[in-house]
Amino acid sequence: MTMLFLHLVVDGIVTGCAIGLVAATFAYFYSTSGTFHVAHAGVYTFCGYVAWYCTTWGIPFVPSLLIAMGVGALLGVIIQGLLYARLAQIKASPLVMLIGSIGVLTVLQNLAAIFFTPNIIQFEFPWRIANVELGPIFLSVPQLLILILCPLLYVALLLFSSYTALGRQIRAVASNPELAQITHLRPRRMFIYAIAISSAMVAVPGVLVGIDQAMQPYTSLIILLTAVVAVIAGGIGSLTGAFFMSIALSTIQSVSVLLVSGRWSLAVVFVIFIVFILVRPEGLVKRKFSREL
Amino acid sequence: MNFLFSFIVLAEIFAIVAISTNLLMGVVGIFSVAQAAIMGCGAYAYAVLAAAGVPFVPAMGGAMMIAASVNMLTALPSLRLAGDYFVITSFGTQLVATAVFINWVVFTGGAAGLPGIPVAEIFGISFVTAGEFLWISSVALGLVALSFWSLLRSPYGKLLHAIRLDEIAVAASGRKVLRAKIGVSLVSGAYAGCGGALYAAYISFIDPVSFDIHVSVLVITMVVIGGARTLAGSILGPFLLLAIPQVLTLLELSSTQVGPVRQLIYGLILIVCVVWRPQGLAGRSL
Amino acid sequence: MSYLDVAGVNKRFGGIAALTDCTFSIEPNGISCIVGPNGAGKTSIFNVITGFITPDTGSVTFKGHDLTTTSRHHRIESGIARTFQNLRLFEELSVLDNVLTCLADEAGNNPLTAIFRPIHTEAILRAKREKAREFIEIVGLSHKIDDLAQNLSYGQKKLLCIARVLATDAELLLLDEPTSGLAAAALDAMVDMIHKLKERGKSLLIVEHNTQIVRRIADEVLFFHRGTLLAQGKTEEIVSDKELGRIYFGEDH
Repeated sequence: MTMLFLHLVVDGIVTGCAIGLVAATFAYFYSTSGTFHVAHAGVYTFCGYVAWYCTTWGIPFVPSLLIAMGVGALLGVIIQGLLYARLAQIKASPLVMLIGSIGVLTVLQNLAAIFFTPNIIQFEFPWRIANVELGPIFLSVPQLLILILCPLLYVALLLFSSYTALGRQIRAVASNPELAQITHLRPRRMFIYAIAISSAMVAVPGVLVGIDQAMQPYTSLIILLTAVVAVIAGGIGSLTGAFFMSIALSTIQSVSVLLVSGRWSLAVVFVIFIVFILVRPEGLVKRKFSREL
Repeated sequence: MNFLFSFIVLAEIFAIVAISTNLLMGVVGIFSVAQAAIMGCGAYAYAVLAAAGVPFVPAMGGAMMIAASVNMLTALPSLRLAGDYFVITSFGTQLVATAVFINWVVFTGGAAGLPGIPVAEIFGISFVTAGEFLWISSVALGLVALSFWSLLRSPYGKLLHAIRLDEIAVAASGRKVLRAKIGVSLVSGAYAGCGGALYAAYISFIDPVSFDIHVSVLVITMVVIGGARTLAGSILGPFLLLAIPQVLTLLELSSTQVGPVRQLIYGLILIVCVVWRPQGLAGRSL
Repeated sequence: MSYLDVAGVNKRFGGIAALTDCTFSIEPNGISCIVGPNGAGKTSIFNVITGFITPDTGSVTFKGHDLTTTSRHHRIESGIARTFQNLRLFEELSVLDNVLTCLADEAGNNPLTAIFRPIHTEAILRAKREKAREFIEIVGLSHKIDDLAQNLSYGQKKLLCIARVLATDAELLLLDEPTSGLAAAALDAMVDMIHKLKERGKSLLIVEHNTQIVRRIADEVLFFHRGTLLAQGKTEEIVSDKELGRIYFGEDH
């Protein structure tokens, strides 16, 4: 029983790290540009497929991952440049932005299905199912990679945002777009940087979760839902809140199978979300960026 | 001929769901990507009631009431808050509803679905074929359209427009915004439930896939291409979009490609509309 | 007990104090003007009185009823309504519908009536239109009644705001800068309008920047500075006070 519990907790933390990076990158772009970027889930999926496709051509893991990240960044730039910037120019309402984003999500998911395959696929790495023993717990190699790479990238995003000139400029745009415009920070360019960084990073969990489990074009929305619930529960605008809340949510979700069937784990997250918006709509951590909802 | 009737029946059913979405999104500006889930609640409620021997009209009424309640209850926590919370609630409602349809096997038959839903019967006349069912779906669409029209014309309708344009100004003039929103989520839910019940009665088989998020996106696409806030838009949209799969059968696509290609077209339509034609074909700008 | 009592109101946003121990009262059927430099808390006090912000401490009492924690809706029912500095008209609705949605009468604001009793609703609609027309006539916009609000001139838009606030049937009207941005002719029309409102038995609390206008409309003046009431008194006393003038025109920096 305790072993099972421990395993569920570890599983939850691993998944949480992957979702945490999705959440942190979503929160990063959201707090910078104010766009509710649902298509982030589409980038996540598409990058996973790109990496898979590369490996079918015999390209090794690391270059495949890098190619997927590059494709992710490119997709982000295209989405921002061709759609969001245009919509902002014609002063589209948030509702219209969101519908546009849903359009992009649909396009990306189905391009993946058409170009690659609509069926469930798995990576052919021999190390995919190899286990690593850490004391009483076993981790698969992909799980270990998630556990190392995702928190690392999250920390990198934090450091970038706080300690580099570009990161600070992006944050300045986030806290006050009008002022930033006056001071020649060119918010539109900052939005492009922010989405490129977010999209390149989201490729990593996209690929790793794909290797760990399997891939299917339409499942990423569930991951995004958990991620965005974490963003809200963690306090919108707080990357740290988003990341750790994802881990907490995933762990709760994973452990909840002891009490309710695993088929209801999505409902568990949703119930937590409802409780949050009823009890503490501003989230656990006070927001860092002051972006009005 | 039967094929054409069948197409019209389905388009009319989706027109009802599109009007439901239009009322929320177009008129009041409340985002919803869960209309298929609400439609599904109506469909399952109807199927269960009809299987228990409840006649068509009361079963339909029950389905509408259940769908209205579900729509209102899921919306309630976030109606008080602005924008983005509602987006998540809406996505969450859709995804959780699909999970419920798949997993609450006693009522829904699980992933395999519910076959053999009783045929619609009013005053001893059964409506089996598409040609016969067309009567029911046309009358239902007529009634929904009429009520939508009188709703928008009434002082309440003006209030809904005002809420979309400036919620704070509405509150400042003494109106109860929350109450108005609860009212509209009930009406919209009832419309979607009506669509769902008709769908169940007509197809006589429902499964979770009939009401998943792709269907919600399809309904949004119908509203966007038709245009917000007009009846013509909400009726035109479904007829156009349901014709796409028919056109696709002319191309020789492999069976695994048909679904994705269809979805891809919906996605492209959404993008093209928001950028170049936000008012759709016969409506107003969102 | 006065007509409107604001007592000991404090409000901080983050670290910034918007209102500091703000206390004043006004009497019925007068025109009270709130003046003061930018950031003096003029709009904040409007927000506190109408329930758009809840004060950290202090109370708002109207005709003996404590309104401090009541809903915005309740305050309008009690008889306090406001306009906004940035107008907040329903730009895509007609002049008539702008006023119609603000009418005090809740009749017809119900989906079930609208759907199931269309004929009854039609009668309500007609009655409400008639009522709205009267208010539009008062502000002199009858010739624009079917135009969209977005097609009005700025002066007409400001008059429409007056018609909307009149439609709520409130007796105490809070007008946030009703004359700002108006050219001479429109400005005179607005000043006449304000006098007309007083004649109709309304009490007015007005945020006003222009001292010339204050002289023309105010019965009394409330001088705000740094989130608190600095002085209250007859118009001439306050407007000609040299010390206050220095503060107002920023010579204390």
